[in-house]
Amino acid sequence: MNNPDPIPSNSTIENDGRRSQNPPAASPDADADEGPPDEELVRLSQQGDMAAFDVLVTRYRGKVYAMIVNIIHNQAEAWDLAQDAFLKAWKALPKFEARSNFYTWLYRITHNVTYDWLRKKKIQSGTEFDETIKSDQVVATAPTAPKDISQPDEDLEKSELRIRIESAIDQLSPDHRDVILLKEIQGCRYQEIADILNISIGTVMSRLFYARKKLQTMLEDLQP
Amino acid sequence: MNPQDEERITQWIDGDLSDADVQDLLDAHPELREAKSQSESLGHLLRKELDSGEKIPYADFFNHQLNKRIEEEDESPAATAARQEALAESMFPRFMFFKKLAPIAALAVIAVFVTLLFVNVPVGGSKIVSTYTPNPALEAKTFYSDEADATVLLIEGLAEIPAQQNITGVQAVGYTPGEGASHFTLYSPNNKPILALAIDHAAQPRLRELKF
Repeated sequence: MNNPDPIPSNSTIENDGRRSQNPPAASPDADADEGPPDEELVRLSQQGDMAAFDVLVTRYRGKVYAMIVNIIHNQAEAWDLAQDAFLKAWKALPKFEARSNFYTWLYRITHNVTYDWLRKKKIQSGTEFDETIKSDQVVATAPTAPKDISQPDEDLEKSELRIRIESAIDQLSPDHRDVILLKEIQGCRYQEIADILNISIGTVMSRLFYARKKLQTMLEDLQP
Repeated sequence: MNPQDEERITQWIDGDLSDADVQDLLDAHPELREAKSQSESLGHLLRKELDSGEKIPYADFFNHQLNKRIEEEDESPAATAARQEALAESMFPRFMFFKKLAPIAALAVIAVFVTLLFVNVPVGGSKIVSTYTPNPALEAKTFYSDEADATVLLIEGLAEIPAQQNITGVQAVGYTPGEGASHFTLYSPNNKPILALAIDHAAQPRLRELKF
């Protein structure tokens, strides 16, 4: 563990943590990239230190939110689901044995929360399993999130190219979409993807092979 | 192509294959020579257009709300105390009109007062038995929702909120007789209050719509 300056358990943790492991990609919550390593924050959180957990939340909230948005394409619902994911993580922290990285474990929880939600949506709507929930299909009364997060001008800024890419990814099977998003967008390593999805590394690589092939076919005209 | 080849190709594209293995792979599949650059450009395209860790909207509110939910569910002594405080607040019926309010809230600056009478009932805390709206254009209805365990207040007759108006925050503070007023306030993205329901020290509810 890369922990050059461990903090005492009775110290106050400011909301500007630093991690020791290198998460897959840089976080936009730059302030949270500084400070105690994940392992230390996890240990304190397991002792009930909410300030330590708050630093972890600040560190990973953007990534968790982005991961969900890239699957369901609805910012308001993603905001709520990110809340649910962190709440589940807090509840499950006493059982976390640090056999994997915290963010790998958190991504796994996020993945499960997101797909549980999609399954419930499917049951409630009585329609075929459509993992992609568009904003105009969602009831505007989720419990916690500020609604209508996206502004009209932001929607306009969403490029046609992005819409095209999202549409192509949506056409992948959930298995293929998961590995593409985790590898290409979140920058996870094979072993991390295997841990998150609870599959073998060989399966990760095989799914990546076919997912890339399908995407290349669908987006053929966009590539040089 | 066998599964081993699929895995090797994936490793090659991701730069995880040794030079010797790369040579073996290309010897076996010369048609793959262009595949690496195509996959790399695909990955570049995806990373450029999709977010890997975008700034979450209302980040501070996100942490605040999460902490609140954790405290509500935590079993720690502090959380127990917080729950007891929440229980005391629950002596006052909770107003859950936010969901109904969003599509019917007001457009103009007006101030209305809604007078509500409360009586104690054996089950479910207090109950609103009558309502009064000085503004005849408005109609207030109440009912007790068993599902939500809350008193729902519906206010009809208000103009619609403009579609572009965001409700980004809700603050609800309970009322304890003799200790202070309750507040229920909706906030816009710039943290300005849009609508406030308050009860003063004389237990007189006031609904005030603010300009947005």
